[in-house]
Amino acid sequence: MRRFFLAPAGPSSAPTPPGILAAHFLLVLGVLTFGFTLTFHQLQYHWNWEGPWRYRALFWKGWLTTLALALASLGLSAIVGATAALAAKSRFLPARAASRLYVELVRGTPFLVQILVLFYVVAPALRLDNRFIVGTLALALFAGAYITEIIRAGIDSVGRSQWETARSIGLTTAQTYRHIVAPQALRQTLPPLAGQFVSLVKDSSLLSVIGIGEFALNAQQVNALTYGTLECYLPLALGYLVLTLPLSLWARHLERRTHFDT
Amino acid sequence: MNLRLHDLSKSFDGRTVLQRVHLELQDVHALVLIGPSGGGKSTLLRLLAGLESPDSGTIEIDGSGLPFGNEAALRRHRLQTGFVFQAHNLFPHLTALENVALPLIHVHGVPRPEARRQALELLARFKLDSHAHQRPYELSGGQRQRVAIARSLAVKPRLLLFDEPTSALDPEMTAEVLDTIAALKPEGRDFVLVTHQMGFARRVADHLAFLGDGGIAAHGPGTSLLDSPPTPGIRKFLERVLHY
Ligand SMILES: Nc1ncnc2c1ncn2[C@@H]1O[C@H](COP(=O)(O)OP(=O)(O)OP(=O)(O)O)[C@@H](O)[C@H]1O
Ligand SMILES: [Mg+2]
Repeated sequence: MRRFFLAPAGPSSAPTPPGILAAHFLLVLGVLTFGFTLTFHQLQYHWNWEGPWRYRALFWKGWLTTLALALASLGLSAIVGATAALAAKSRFLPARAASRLYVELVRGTPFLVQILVLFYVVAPALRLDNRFIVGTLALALFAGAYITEIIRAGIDSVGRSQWETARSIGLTTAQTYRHIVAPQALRQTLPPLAGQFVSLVKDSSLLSVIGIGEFALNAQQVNALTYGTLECYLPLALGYLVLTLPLSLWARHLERRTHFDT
Repeated sequence: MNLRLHDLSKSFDGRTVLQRVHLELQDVHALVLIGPSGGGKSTLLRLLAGLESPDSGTIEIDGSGLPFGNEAALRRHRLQTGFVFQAHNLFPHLTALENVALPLIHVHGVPRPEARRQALELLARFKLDSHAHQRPYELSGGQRQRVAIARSLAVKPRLLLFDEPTSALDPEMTAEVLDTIAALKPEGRDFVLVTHQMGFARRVADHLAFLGDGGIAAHGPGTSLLDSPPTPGIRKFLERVLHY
C-alpha cells in the first residue's frame, strides 16, 4: 500500500513501476471528470453541439493557423533569444546595451501594445502588409525577450572553472560555447524554456486584435454565430492543450536524456 | 627544459603577488613549487600556462618567450601545455572518454575515431578503461583527477602543470594520483607542480622553489631546500606542513 502511494525514499530504492504512475494520473483525471460532470449537472446546462459542428471548418482552420503561427514564432523566438543572450554576454558593449534595452522594453510593456505598434507603425514603414508575418514577428520578439533571460541565466549557471578549463585546453570562445557551455546550459534552461514555449502558444491568441484568423478569434466568431459559449470555448481549450502538452512532454523527455549531476 | 623568469611582476587590484621575480634554470624536468597559501604559486603556474598575463617581465621556456598580449599565439602555447587544477577539471556532461578526446578532436583536429582510440589507450594506461563511459559524477575524486591527467597528456604537451592536483582528495586517492604523476617522470616529460605533500616533493623534484612574500624566497636543486632550509621563514613553514 505504501508503495502504491509513496515515491521511493531515495535514489537507491527501486523506482515506482510506470503502471502505478499511470494509475495515479487516471485516478486524478477521473476525480476531475466526476467533479466537472457534477458541476454541469447542477447548472442544468443544455448542451447544443449542433452550432459548433456546423462551423467545424472554421475551428479547424483557426487551429491550423495557430499551429503555423506557433511553429514559426517558436523557432524564430529561440533564434532571437539565443542571439540576444550572446549579445548580452559579448565583450562588445553596444551589443550588450542593445540586448538589455530590448529585454527591458519588451518585458516592461503589454504585448497588446507591441502588436499594435508593430502592425500600425513599424510594418507600414517597412512596407510589410502580410498579417501573418507581422504576427509571427510580434510573437517571436515578445517571447524572445523572456527566452533571452532564460538563456542568459543558463549560461551564467556554467561555472567559471569550466571556462577556465576550456581555455586551458585551447578551446576558442566559440568552441567553448558550442561544446561546453551550450550542452550544460541547455539542461538548466529546458524547464523554463518549455514553460515559455507553452506561454507563446497561448499568447498567440492576442494576435486576433490585428485580424489574424487564428484559433481563438475563430472560436469567438463561432460563438457570436451560435450563442453556444461553452460549446465554443471547451473545444478551444482542448485545441490549445493538444498543442501545449506535446511541448511539455518533449521538454521532459529531453531533460531526462541530458541528465547529469554536477 | 630551460626556464627563465625575468623581472616578472603580477598584482591583482593593487595587491602585489609576484614582485620582480627572477629565476634561471637549466635542464630541469620536474620543478616543484612550495610555499604558504596566497604566496603566488597558482599565479605563477597560470602565468606559465598562458592563462594570465604579467604586469611586466618575461617568461622564456627553452629560449622562446611566452607571447603575452597576443591571444592567438598565447592560445598556441596553451595547446602545448597541459594543466591539471585542484578540482573541477572535467566537463560534467561528457564521459571520461569524451573528456579526454575533446581537445584532440576540436583543438588538434584528430579525426573522431582516431581520437577515441587514443583516448581509450590512455585511459587503459591509467587503469580507467572500465570507467571510460562514465560521467564525472559517477567517478571517485581520484579517478576524476586521473582522467584529467590523461586528458592533459592526450595532446602530447611540451609542458605539464599541476596545481595541487590532490588537495581535494583523501589520502588513499592522493597516493593513487601522485603515483600516476611520478610515473610520468621517467618518460622525460617536463612538469611544474605545486604541492603541499613534502614527501612527494622529495620523490619527484629535480628542483624546488619556495614562493612567498612576493617572490621566490629560495630555490635549489633536488631536495636541498627541504634538508637545510636557508631562512627561518622557510624552516617554520616546513615545520608546520610536516607537522600535519
Ligand atoms: N584572479 C584573481 N583576482 C584577484 N586576486 C587574485 C586572483 N588570483 C589570485 N589572487 C590573489 O593573489 C594572491 C596569490 O594567490 P595564489 O592563488 O597564486 O596563491 P597560492 O600560492 O596558489 O595559494 P594556495 O596555496 O592557497 O593555493 C592571493 O592573495 C589571491 O587572493
Ligand atoms: Mg593555489
